Amino acid sequence: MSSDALLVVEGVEKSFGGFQALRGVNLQVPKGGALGLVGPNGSGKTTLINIISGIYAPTAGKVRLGGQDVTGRLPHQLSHLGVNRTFQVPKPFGSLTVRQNVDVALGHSRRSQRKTDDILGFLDLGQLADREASSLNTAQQKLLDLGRALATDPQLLLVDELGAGLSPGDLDLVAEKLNALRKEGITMLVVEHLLGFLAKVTDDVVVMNAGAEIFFGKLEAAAKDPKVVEVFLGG
Amino acid sequence: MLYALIAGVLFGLYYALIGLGLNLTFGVLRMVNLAHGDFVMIGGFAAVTAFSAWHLHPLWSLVLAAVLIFAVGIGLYYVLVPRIATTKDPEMISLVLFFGLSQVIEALAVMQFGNNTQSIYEPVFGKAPINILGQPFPAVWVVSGLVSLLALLLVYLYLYRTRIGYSTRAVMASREEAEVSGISVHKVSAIAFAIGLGLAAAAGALAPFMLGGITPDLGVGLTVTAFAVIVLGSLGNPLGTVAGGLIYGIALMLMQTYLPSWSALLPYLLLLLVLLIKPSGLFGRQVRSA
Repeated sequence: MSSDALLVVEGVEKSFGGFQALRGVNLQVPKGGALGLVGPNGSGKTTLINIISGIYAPTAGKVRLGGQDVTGRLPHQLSHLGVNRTFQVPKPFGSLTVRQNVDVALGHSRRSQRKTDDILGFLDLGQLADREASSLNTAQQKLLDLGRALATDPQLLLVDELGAGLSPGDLDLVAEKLNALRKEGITMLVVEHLLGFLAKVTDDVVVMNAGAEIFFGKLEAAAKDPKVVEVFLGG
Repeated sequence: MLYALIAGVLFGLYYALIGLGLNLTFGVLRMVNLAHGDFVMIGGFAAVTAFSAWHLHPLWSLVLAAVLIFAVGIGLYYVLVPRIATTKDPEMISLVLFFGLSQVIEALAVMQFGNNTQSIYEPVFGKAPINILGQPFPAVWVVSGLVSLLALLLVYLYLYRTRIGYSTRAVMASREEAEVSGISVHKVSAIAFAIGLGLAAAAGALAPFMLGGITPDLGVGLTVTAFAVIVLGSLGNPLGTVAGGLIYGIALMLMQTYLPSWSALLPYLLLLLVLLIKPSGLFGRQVRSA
């Protein structure tokens, strides 16, 4: 294990009844780094994110954060330790305003020095601060989801298909925001199908298939790897 | 007609109080507490017993029953709900489990109080009627309406003006997003569940007057009525319960005035109509998918 790794996933397995979703996944994300996670639908990417963020407990294996074993911790406990995430399909707190959505997360953070107005300003949501969150469009809801996660001042941000459903203009905007967050020192694990977007925001990628990692390295190298090509193009 | 409408509002506020706790519980847990009506019944017997044993005024019994049942609710939540939540089908298991709890509570009530109707027959709220718009109403109806209104207002302030209330609304919107935002979902849910039971017990303390008396088998029927009220307003949205309660109360009073023999059917008729015409409730957002 690398000593500068913030997140270490060791042999993580997850079964749902008879279905094995993860088969001993290993990966590391260095402090301040950004690792991409790609793979076909059903390869276990979101399951892995759910385990790292505490929504699922793994069937076997360990998750370490900064050397500390955090396997099986509950999501709110992990949030207090500086792990947060966005959701593939965000479900903002619909009856609360945009500002209140961020305030709720900020109010439960044990780490955050951030301010709601700064977060909303950074995400260009300041004009919508008093709108009910349920009235936002998809791109705005995704940005709000990111804002809610930022409110807890995460050291590790798990980004689950933030780019899905966004226009090219919105994608560039989100990539710019994620890169700005990296410069602040936030470590990221980014699940994404959009490889162009991934190339803009990550250093390396792990490619997953059928619950196991089959490649680690640069995205350009992944495109030439025979196993990866077989998974994506069927040989 | 005016009398029926005003009486409907007074009873509507009371029925909103009965339904509010059930809706709060559903909102945070996505589980229907089929034992809800039994906690109304417990509150009723508590008031009757406290009055006959110590001559305690029912309004004091109401406060005591609400606080005690709130404490019971916290314990009950941690005994039952986290285990249900880890099962494969929490909604179905919760229906069976809360139905079982309802049967146990009813059986214990029969053992303790017998099957006869019990009530408080003394005019503890005064003998003189209270006039509203020239119409005389029993004082207890007006007091019950006002107490219910106060309780509804307190729940509104809790949900919309306190930090834990915001957290409760966050959990209602999305448990997963709330959890990763640092909210202890079990803590928030336990408090909401306990408040729900406390409100039921508070409503129960007024039941000897508003419902004419208390019997151990009262719970099942009251759960159906409460369910009709919250479906009518909006399942999962506690404030919709107030609208549901008012519509139910006014409809009930109009039925009792003009079609008394049909009034017992009202909860079922309203449930059927709302589910057929507007399943999200008359004042509802999309809070359930089936």
